[in-house]
Amino acid sequence: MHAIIPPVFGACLLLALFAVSDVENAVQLLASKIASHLAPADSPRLAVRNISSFPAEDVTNVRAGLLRILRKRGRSTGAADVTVTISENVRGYLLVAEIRKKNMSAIEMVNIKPSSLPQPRLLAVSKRLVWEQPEPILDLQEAGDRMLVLSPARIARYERHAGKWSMVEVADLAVPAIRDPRGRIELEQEKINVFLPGAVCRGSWEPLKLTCELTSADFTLDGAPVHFAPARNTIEGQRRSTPRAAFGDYISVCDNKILASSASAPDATDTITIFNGAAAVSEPSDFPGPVTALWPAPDGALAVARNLTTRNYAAYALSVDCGH
Amino acid sequence: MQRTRSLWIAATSSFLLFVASLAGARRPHYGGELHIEIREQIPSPDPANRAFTETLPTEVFETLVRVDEQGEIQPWLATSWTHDVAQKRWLFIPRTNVTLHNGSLWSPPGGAISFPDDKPIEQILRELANPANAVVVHEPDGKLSGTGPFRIARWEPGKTARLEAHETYWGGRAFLDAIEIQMGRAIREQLLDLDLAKTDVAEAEVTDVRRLRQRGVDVRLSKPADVLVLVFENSQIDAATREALALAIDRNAIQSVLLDRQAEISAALLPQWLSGYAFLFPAVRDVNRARALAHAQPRLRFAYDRDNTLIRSVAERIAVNASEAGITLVSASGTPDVTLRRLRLTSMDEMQALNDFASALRISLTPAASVYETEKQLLGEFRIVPLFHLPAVYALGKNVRDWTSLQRLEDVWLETR
Repeated sequence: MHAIIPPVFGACLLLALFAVSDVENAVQLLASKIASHLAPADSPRLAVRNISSFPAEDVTNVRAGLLRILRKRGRSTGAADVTVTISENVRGYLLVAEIRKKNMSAIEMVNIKPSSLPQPRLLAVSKRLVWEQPEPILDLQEAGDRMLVLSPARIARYERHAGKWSMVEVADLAVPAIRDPRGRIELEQEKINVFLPGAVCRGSWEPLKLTCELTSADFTLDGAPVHFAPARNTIEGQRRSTPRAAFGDYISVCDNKILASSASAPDATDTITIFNGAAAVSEPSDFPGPVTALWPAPDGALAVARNLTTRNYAAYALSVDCGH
Repeated sequence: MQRTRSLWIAATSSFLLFVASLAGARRPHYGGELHIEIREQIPSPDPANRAFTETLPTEVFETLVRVDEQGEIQPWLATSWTHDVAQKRWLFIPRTNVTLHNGSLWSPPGGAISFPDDKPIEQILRELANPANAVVVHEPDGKLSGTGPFRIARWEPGKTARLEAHETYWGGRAFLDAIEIQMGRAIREQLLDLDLAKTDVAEAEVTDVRRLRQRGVDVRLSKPADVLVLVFENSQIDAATREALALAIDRNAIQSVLLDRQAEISAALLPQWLSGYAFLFPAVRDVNRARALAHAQPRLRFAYDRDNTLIRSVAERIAVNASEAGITLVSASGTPDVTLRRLRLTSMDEMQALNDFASALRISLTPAASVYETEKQLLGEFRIVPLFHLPAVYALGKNVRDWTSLQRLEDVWLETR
């Protein structure tokens, strides 16, 4: 191993030391730092500006907080000018005070870590098992007491009577086999379109009557036209690339957030979590095996996982609580 | 005291930003060779070599801890650290099941790596995160073994290199089978090779971005990290002249005309997004004051990389600006008085980054009470005049997926067409 410790720096991690628990404390700390440059009775002229993503409504609070503390000091207004800039760096927000007096100028900074800002409550993903079968489930559509289940080479229609699903009819799909099959059902009243890599099947779904052709056709995902790459397991045209640490499927939910499965191995359990940019904003929802499909649904999403114990494919309806 | 972090927290906090992708294929494919061309001519793959760590720091050799995208320390080859019983040393617990590129298991003797507790732990951690302090094993045949997702299969100093996937990498095998790197290629040659599909990744300048995008090329820009600076090499040049030149430069015109508005005007070394205080260093132009300061109408020898079109055009504009203030910048042989240089941000740790800038400029850095004070001190006498922060620009072939940066290639994969 190379020499581990290079010449030492007194790398004074001032900003880190200044990190305080909340905005109010940061304001108090900054005010006391400003005050240390003023005479006891001085009350400075104060200007506050925001060059960051700090919420505009909170800028007034910062200004009011600083004024409240600094004005307590005395009535000798104007002995100094203080400009406080609300800035931002990789660690969070930064309050920067520029203090100018007749023969002196000084800079003071206080860091506010994002974690110290009020945290939105965690969003939630809840799941309900809809259907389980030995054959892979590529997509599933539920409409009251009727249900369509898409498998790699066929689509089946089910009806529910007395709380129990039973198959009514099945239609084979004349499409080429894919090693990692994927598919999507789109319904439009009585019409049905089934999209598969390199193929599309169109027709009616009650009764099931479909004609397939070997061509790529677009379907809609997250509001954008996308299609399966022929003979591949990939979708082309999706608006965002996958989050780095979650190589599974993903869809948009809750105003620009992402619902994503994790980088599960084929023989491991999996999770589905809501992400906001870089951060997980929900508890991970556990699945009994790798998630093999994740699609948007009218009330949330549809997830299919291969149960490691039963080896069956299980389709779950996911409800997403966006915290609204 | 023991400091451990769960893998889940580490994973989520080290998430990279989402990157817009032309083709959002979501299930990565394994296999394939990624061809990369770079300007840099890296003599040696040693992490002690600055050119290497600036280009491929984490792909081959790894450190005990890392600084993540938020500037926070994260466990890496060490999973936790704790005091010894006597509270005199820090013990770093190594990650298990880490194999070296030579196939042997990485197991530090005694089951832990220890350092004296003679400075704050934050400082020790930031030093350990420095790529120069990566775990490297010098093999008897002179080769270097690391623990990263790629191993060095071939290295022709300054010419070509081949990195191959480390099959037993503890973090999971990289998607790519191999990376072929061609060094010393001019930007123009690189972009031509990209057109001819001879390379998958080419570097580009900010001035190429619009043209490439119009042609449908997938262009990725990093955060503005490189800094374009004037450096006074001749210590005999007086402070008034140095300040005069700094005040004479019309950064706005250069930014809008020559840099296609893709750069950030700055008078600070550390970019605003990293430090949060770059705005405190004024980047103003004041030709009248510059004239007054440069009343002796100095003549300075000016050097820059003439082979780099972007640098050359900026340098020529600086010379015009300088002449308006009565300063003549001339290209002449011999030691230059002032140079125009492009420096690369090497660390998300501000003090380490300042240290690296100073070291690249062969200037001694005396840390002050804070990072800001240290930078202020470094820039105080106008020996270094930062001008712009520039993003790194990469043009990608149509089959490259999940690209984030040249420093992070383990997640990149190739779409097979």
